[in-house]
Amino acid sequence: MDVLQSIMLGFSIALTPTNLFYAFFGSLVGTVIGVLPGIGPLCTIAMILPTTFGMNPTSAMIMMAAVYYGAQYGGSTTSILLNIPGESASVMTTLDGYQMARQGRAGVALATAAISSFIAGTISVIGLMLLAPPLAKIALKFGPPEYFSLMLLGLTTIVFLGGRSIVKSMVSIILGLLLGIVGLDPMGGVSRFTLDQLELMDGINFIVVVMGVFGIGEVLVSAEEKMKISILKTKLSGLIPTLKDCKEATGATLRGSVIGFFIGVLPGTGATIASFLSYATEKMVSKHPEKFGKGAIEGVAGPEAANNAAVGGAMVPLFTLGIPGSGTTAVMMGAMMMWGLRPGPLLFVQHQDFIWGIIASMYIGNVMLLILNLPLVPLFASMLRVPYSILYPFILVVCITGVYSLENSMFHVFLMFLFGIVGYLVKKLDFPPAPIVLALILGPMVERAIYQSLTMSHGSLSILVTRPFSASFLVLVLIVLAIPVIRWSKERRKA
Amino acid sequence: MKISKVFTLLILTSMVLSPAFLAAAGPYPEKTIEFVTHSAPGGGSDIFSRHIANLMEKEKLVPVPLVVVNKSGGSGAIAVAYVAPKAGDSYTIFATSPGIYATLVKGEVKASIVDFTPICSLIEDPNVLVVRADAPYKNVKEFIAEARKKRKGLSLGLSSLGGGDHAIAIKMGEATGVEFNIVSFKQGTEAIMAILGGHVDFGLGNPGETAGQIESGQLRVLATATDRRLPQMPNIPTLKEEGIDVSYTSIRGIIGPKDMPKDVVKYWETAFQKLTQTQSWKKYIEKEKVLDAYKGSADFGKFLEKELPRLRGDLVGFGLIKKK
Repeated sequence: MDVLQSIMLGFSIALTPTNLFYAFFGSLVGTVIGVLPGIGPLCTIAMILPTTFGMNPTSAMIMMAAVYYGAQYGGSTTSILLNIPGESASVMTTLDGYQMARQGRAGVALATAAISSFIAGTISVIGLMLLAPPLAKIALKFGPPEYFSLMLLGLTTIVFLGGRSIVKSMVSIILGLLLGIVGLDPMGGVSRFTLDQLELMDGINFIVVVMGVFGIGEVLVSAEEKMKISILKTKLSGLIPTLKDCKEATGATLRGSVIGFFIGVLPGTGATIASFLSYATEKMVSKHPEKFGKGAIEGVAGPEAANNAAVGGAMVPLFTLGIPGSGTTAVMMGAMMMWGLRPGPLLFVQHQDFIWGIIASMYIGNVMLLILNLPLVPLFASMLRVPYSILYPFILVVCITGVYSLENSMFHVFLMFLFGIVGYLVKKLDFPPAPIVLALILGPMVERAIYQSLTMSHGSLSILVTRPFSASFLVLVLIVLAIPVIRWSKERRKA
Repeated sequence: MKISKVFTLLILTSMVLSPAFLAAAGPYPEKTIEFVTHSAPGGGSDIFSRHIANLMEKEKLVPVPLVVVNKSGGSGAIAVAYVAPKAGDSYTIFATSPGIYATLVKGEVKASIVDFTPICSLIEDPNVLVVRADAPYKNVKEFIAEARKKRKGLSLGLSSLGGGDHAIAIKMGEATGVEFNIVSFKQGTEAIMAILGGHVDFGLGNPGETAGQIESGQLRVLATATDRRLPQMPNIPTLKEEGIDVSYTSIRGIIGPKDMPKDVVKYWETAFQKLTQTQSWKKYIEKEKVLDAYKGSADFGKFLEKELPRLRGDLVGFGLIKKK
């Protein structure tokens, strides 16, 4: 069966009223939980899991997938409006999205996020449809050394994401890396800095840090300043992106889609890393990198495209290899096993209707999300008119609920408040907060990967340079490190 | 007179409606059961618990829902610490797995097996040795010969530190005199991916985890680490048949908190025994490639009494528990 026939079969399944309903319902739920900080697709899908037992597996999976990609749409909303990321994958969107909102361009930022999410979502479904089997083969080539080098590239690029001072970025990164040390060590299982708290044995959950540093930190900082409201009240009229905006955002969206899709394919990396690699790329290819962090539209379009495209990518290993690419797809795989489907390479052959029905529904769901999200833009943007004295207690409640829902534990709520204080200090002292979170996510992965690589090579570092993928990432690391030096020397010559 | 009658009636009604009275009168169970699992949604123990809860409901073996509660973290420590203080509670049951046994003997949690009531064992997870389909060794003898060629010549994709795969690899090493290069992964799926990609040479685990890859011919089973051949794969020899005296299975079962009332334990023992006799249970066993291993409360308790000290010995041997 060729692709065209398969996708026709898929649409014939996805377009039945029942499945359309589930795609819509999933998209709606996804949008809502995406908007609410802390509550992510993973725990939502886990919660709706028991309700799917009586359902047709295809319909159930269509709904779950819709929740997953729907959440990536919604996640940008609070990032842009309140500087509080709805999901970890929307941390990067705070950098420029919030600045755009402060300049009265909240509507443009929200619309850009929705449109680039739509384009990226569609591109990644096409990628999933056409490239899944060959891509899965490439993903298999990624062993621990490749992951190490890729993550190292990620860590290197973080340095240049933050604001004006590289030194301050480095301090934030080191703080994040130190936080990443907490927990059981990956090889020996020895607990490190857990202070005899069982809750710390798995390390510090980065969502707790995101909610604390961004959410609580933002509330604390704003509690001091009263007058910011007037800034945000200014013109909400500019809701529709101008032609110039579109031009600037297009390249970023396309690059973000490609980066997001490929990073999404690699198990364990996912939407968060995709979003910041995209941001870093945009900042590097841009002719005016100084605009980033001050409301550059590319800084919204790129990461938002990347985190949506990563969803389609994450489906590749799930469908072709039976290996989940992210925490959320792991739950989906669990669900498939409960419905009696065996995730694995044979799924594509034995359950064509299932696979293609879902793929087709992802096209439809993305259209639904665009239609659902665009009219919401003015509504959300007008949220900025709500006085902070009403809005901020509400944010506190949402943050507490979201973090509590992670593990149903008050410990994490207290930890979030602790990081709220960190967030306050970081903002007051003008350290960039995003690198803390990113380094916390990457640190443990880098550590495990280097351990694994060195075990594989019996202790020799040469394994990192003798494998082609790994070596090329390391070359990229060198290039990334060289760029600021080159720029700096150019500027000096000019001066 | 009338007033006192109304009064009496009122008292009687309120007695009947009061929760205390209801609790004394109604048959067990009257409210939702909390079914605790130590793995996150999608993890092995989570899937196991949800399957059980689903089957119990489908077969109408309990009149109330079993709600799966994920208390993930710290290799089961969070779940253990959550259930242990619930002494006397009749409405919490806990799915155990080898990971929980390890947590109970490691001593990081202030709880041990005496803080729990064994209810029953349900299944036995067999372990099998898998390699990539195009690996040059076709049987265990060739596999060991290859491993012998150089020190730490073959690498294992380890999915659980101190778990069944760790134990089997070390015991196989002791039995044959070879040493494996152990690369530890965060979870089973990552280890499988590394085997598929050729980054490590073999894996040890439940055949249910790799069934998809085995069926499609990407992975090959060399042997089972069981006492007898598995009914689901009759052509695969056991390690014992191949001259390596190693077998290791993991028992999954159900435990409750300490001092669970005797009739409640009996209730669950019977309910689960009925479950294991249903057709849908047999289908589940077949599909997941596990073994039926029902044992009642007393027998399961005896098993745990023997199993836990043995496991502790193993973990001390691997250097994962420091002798104090």
